[in-house]
Amino acid sequence: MKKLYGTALAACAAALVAGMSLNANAQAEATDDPEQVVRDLYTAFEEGDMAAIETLIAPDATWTYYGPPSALPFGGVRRGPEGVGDFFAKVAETLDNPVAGQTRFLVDGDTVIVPGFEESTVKKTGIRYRADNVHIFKVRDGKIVQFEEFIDSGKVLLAFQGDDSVAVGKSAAAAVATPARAEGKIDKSVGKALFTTCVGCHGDDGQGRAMMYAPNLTGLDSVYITRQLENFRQGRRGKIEDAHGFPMVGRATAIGDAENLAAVVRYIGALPDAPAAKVAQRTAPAGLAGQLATCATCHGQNGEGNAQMGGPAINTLDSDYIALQLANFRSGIRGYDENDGQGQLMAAAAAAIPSDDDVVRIAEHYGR
Amino acid sequence: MPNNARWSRRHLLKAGAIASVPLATGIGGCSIFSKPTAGSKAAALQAKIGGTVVVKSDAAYEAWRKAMIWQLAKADRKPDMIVQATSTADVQEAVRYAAKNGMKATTRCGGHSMAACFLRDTGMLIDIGHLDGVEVDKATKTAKVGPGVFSRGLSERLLEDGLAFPGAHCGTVPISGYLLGGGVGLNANEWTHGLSVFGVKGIDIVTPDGEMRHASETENPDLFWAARGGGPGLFGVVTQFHLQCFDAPGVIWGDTYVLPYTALSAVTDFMRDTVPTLDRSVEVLYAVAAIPDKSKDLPAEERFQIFLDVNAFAKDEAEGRRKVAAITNHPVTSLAVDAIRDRAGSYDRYYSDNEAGFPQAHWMGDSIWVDDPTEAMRIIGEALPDCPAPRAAPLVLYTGEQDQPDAAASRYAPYYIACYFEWDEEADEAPSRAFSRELFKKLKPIARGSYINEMDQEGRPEDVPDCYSPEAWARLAQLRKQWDPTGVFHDFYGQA
Repeated sequence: MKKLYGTALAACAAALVAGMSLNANAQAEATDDPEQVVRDLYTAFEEGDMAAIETLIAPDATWTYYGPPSALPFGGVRRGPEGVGDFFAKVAETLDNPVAGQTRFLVDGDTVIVPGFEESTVKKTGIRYRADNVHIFKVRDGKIVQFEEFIDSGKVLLAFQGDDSVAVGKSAAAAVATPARAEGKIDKSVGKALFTTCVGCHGDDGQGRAMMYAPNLTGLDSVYITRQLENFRQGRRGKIEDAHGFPMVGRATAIGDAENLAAVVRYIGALPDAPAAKVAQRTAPAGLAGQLATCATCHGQNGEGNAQMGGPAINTLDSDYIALQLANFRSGIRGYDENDGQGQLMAAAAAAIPSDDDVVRIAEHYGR
Repeated sequence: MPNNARWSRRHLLKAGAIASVPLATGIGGCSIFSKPTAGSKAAALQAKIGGTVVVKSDAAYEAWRKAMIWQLAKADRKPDMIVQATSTADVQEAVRYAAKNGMKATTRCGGHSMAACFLRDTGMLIDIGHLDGVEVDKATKTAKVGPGVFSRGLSERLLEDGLAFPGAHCGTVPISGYLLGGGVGLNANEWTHGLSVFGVKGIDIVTPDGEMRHASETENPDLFWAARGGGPGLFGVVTQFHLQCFDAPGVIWGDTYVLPYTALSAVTDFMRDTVPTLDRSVEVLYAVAAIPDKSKDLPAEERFQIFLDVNAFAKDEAEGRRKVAAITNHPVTSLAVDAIRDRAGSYDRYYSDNEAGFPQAHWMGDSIWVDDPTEAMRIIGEALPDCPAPRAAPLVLYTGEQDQPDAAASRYAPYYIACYFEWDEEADEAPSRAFSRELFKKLKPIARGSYINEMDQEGRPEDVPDCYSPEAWARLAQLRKQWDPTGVFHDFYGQA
């Protein structure tokens, strides 16, 4: 995953705005391949390579960020390298520690589509938001002639307006972006290194693999992830009867000391969020209103999680996984240790679900 | 055996799993780390790939280096660069970079090689664990599978289409290195001539020139020959396997018997005389394991037990019962002090049970192939009481008389014997390794070679060629010269 908009980028933007002469002597070999052009642009941003940026953007290129310019200073349509420079100048003026990543590069003729995410702190409100986005580039003759950023600008707007319901990093651990990201460099952190062992079961981006019975880890509160890893390490979760939890005992222990643990949790916290189930649009299963109200107390109305209550998001988990965990809580395979307070609470709540059928219905209500 | 009767099912499961532990380890290949200092060549590679380049001067290098090895015994070798690829294009760029800069490459995927043979003191280690695609064609019963897919995940995915493939016995071993080294796989006796790699019908491989090539019996057949068994000595990075799959069993029907150590020769005789008469779909193995918390001062018969594990890949219960009848009625099973009988198992259950015996601990292992397990088990049984490793598990698996296709995987005999050693304290490591080396030096003269994936390459590198027939070893060298004339890829561990 690559980071965009780092400090180097801000410097580059400032230089562009100031109309600094951008000579081309540092330019890499030119290419006409649209994907390579786009990749080169991201690289140039990371490295603050102004000369490269100038050569990659066509003089009449349009650069569009969909959002109201009146409220979001970098919103609207801009033109040419100078417009791009102005865009990043506005970013630098209004946002702290902007971090961005690209998850894929999809190519269709001269069009390159790049899904990714952006995470930044709004200077005037101090709110750090995180929004998924899609960048669509059009490339002609080795130059970008059109850029569009589709982002959840409603979320960005709320962050600008001081609405902290969109704030990420409800926990201290998540609030600290990895230093590598903050510098706009390639993440080579200890956390990413340690995550190497996680990908086989939890997926390359931590989004879970049903075929390994391994849940999505993204979008979870960092305090919750830390607690579960500690539970596995301390014997409070993953006893041998927990067929799919037991393997985590060794893995969690092998992470090493507390510093390593924090590093891997930080890395997971920075991964792009998995899509959540649209729970709000679902009809609640009949006859379970009381049960669902209990769930909502800790997991939120739509399963989005409640960090203060220690309840993780469950709307980004597979229904099968939720059902399995509920069954584990009901049978004493999870939530069995008196030092796992939240787990014991959950075991009591799960025990109150009338039947196994209802377990499945609840799981399907909240799950992916 | 006063304590045996008190063994709970939980203990049985745990110890049984220890017995049937890590039959197949995976070795990916290499991983590379580069350091993108501004203006450095590594930075140029980093700019071209979606993955991560780490070099020795990076602050987190040591964490990366250690993370490449799955287990806790971390070989003290330091590649110049580690490249964690996130796409096949990344792999191609990395190989081109290595070629251009005179770096020798190796590959890792899950890092399960107990010898960590992918970790070298120079060059580039390419981590391909992120290449995780699975594409199943139900009609032709084939699948295209990325190297990073775990054996357990593959079995679950294939089951959705009613199919199966002989994966590793340990579910968290990815298919990559496991298959390339041959693959002592689940039900390979019935399905794939005793080794899983014979279920591989094609590969996509990045060759030393950075090109992506397909290899099969008809396309680049010499490359295909090398990939089917060349393992950690393969001169390329396999980024996808084309697998022939099989109809999934309706049930994995089986029993597990716990036998006293005094029954060792009886169990070995049973393995030699009776097991070959069973249907090929009945997989039988036994392992010897120490009873937890027994003093080393006690006589061997009070310290060890034998776990005999039987699994029949069957359509249904009736077929399963029929297939294992010759075992359930055999006198050796009447010696059992405890047992799980009539187990209606599944891949999920098998892999869950096996997890318990394969904790992420400090490990090493070694192996041999033999025509007859009698003499080997006599030697092992004699040595075992003096083993310094706190946990040691010799294992015997019958994989069947086979008529195998011509491939680099050229060492084989119907009985696979491995010994796994596990320790916690650093002080136990060196004596454990020395014990293993000495033991396998004794076993070598009666063996028909070793299995490269579970061979102690660090302890007896001089015997690595013995994982291949002399003809196959020579041909691998000749093909390496032909495909990799400048040596972009490292040779086998410990070889000049």
